[in-house]
Amino acid sequence: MSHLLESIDLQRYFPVRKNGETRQLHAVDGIDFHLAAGETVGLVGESGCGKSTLVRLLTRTLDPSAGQVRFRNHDLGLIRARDMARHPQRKNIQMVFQDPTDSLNPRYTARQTIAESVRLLCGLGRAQADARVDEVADWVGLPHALLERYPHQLSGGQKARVGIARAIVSRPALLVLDEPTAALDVSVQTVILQLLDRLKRELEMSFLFVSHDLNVVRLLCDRVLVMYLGQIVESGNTDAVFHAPAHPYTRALIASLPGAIDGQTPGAADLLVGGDPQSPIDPDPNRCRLLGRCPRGLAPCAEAAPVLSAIDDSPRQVACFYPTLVQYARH
Amino acid sequence: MSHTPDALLEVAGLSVDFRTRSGTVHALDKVSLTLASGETLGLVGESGSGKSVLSFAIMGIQDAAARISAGSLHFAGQDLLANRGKAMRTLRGRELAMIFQNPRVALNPIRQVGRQIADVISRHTGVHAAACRERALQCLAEVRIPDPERRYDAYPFELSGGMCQRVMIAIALACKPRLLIADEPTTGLDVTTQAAIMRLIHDLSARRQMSTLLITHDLSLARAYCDRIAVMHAGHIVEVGPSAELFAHPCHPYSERLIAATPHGAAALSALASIPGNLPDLRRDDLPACRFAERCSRYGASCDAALELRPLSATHSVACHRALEDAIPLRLETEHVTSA
Repeated sequence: MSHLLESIDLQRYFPVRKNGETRQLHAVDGIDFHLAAGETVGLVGESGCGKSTLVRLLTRTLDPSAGQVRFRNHDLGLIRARDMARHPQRKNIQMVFQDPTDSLNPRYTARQTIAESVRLLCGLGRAQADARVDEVADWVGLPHALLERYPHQLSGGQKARVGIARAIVSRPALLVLDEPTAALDVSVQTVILQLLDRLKRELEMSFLFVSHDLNVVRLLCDRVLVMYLGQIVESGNTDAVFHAPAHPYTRALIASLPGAIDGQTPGAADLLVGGDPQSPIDPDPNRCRLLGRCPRGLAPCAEAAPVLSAIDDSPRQVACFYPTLVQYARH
Repeated sequence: MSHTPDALLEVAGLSVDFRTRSGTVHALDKVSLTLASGETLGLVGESGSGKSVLSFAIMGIQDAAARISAGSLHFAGQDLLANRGKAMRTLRGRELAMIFQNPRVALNPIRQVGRQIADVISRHTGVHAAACRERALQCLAEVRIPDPERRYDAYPFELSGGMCQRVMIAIALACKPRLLIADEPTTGLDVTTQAAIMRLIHDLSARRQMSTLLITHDLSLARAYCDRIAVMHAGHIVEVGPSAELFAHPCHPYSERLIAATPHGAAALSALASIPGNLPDLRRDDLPACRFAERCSRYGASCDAALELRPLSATHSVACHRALEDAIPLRLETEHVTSA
């Protein structure tokens, strides 16, 4: 079976020097996952769990310490990040950034921002590039009159559209979205999410959708990956994971939603005791990383690290010695 | 001016304008609301609807360009507008406290967090330094910061976002205020941290009978933690009511659209409906009586008439000529029965 994107035992360590000795911060610590053409995969987890590092490895703006990033069966990990900008594969993997204000050049008009992407990635001349910009503006519903404006003259939703237009103008096969709606109002967020959903179908793209807004992930994604301290602790179909989370950390994430999914009142958030995660610097390889915060935390958890494995005959995988086995009934 | 006896905060007909080079911005227009002792009121609405302008006006920390052109502000019977200077400085931080949106920006980056808490205690109680430190350590423990002795000397950059937010709550609560204004206290935090912070605010306000004004654009958060919700649109309060009732039966078309746009509880992306149009330009001098009229699907000729909040029941009010009144028939009937 061929996957569009595949990550095999992907690792990235950052050296940390303290008191004369060098230790390793395990930002991404052995990630295996794949993404099929046309699929939308959500990536959730707390800040500091390594989501952004993983995204930078996959979009090849950062070099891995070990492991492979395979895109259409080519090992992109062999291309150095600094050479990736001019590599022909660049236009196939594009990214939409979190803050639509910070990620736009304040001295470029919307047209210049999008046209730069067209020229660099598609190698089009000026006249053709302009026509292409008009076309992509129509895709994202940006009135042409706004193309001549600078970012400070645009609203948040309009800036988000410019960021999306810049990313999809090269017709990428994979679009990586890093919290694309976090800075937007709820009604604007709805419009942008529906726009993304439509573009995905019309342009036949795959999405990797990074977010800590679980409600948005639930509505947009086919599959979800839950990340904790550099590792994936649970993966599976979105419906199944949301309605019957098996990993204690996933359970805590979902219970933390205000008035959670099933309408219960807050309180279940105490599922995570302690509060602060363990240090990602040289973590003990023979110990579960949730230990100390996990309400279970039994003896075996301190003797070996659980690995991601199937718990039933569904595509679900969980890294826990004591997963919550609840039969998920599809209604 | 009549006062509701149990109201801790009473805002009546408050209008705030901003004078800018491109014209006068009518940011708040005759806003009225009351907050009882121990009550939690959620203030929701889009960015630019005036939520923060209202909270800054209550705290007396509004921008230099802002002008309060009408209305009154009373806190525990005191006229806040008459005492903007020294009297306000003794109230602020002791009786009225505020948690700001971005803790990293709001905290002083070059002062240890413990010292920042001690500063507030020292300013308002005048106890000596050692006692201030002792009290500050208690505050850090109260917001459940592990190892307060060690964290006392930390600078904001050494703490995570959630920890910084806890420090800001500790500063706000250091002098046991009677009113806490929390302006988007959990925006940008993880869901797990958000749940912990909201429970902390909730528990502390219950234990101390503290009133809380929670400003948020996350409706599901407001519903989970607030007794009542006030919906703001373009400088008007368009609807106020008990949280569960307002969520189940919104009467103002704007409240209805806002709830329909919230991803929480929606079955599919296609079930979400966005709100058409944008907030009107508040610099206009010909703003319509109903500032939602230009975006409203229920707009009719009667909508151009003067408008104010009118009660639908003892607890639920709406500012709309064509409110979705049939939405709460049961409640109105029972009210009639009891009053008959």
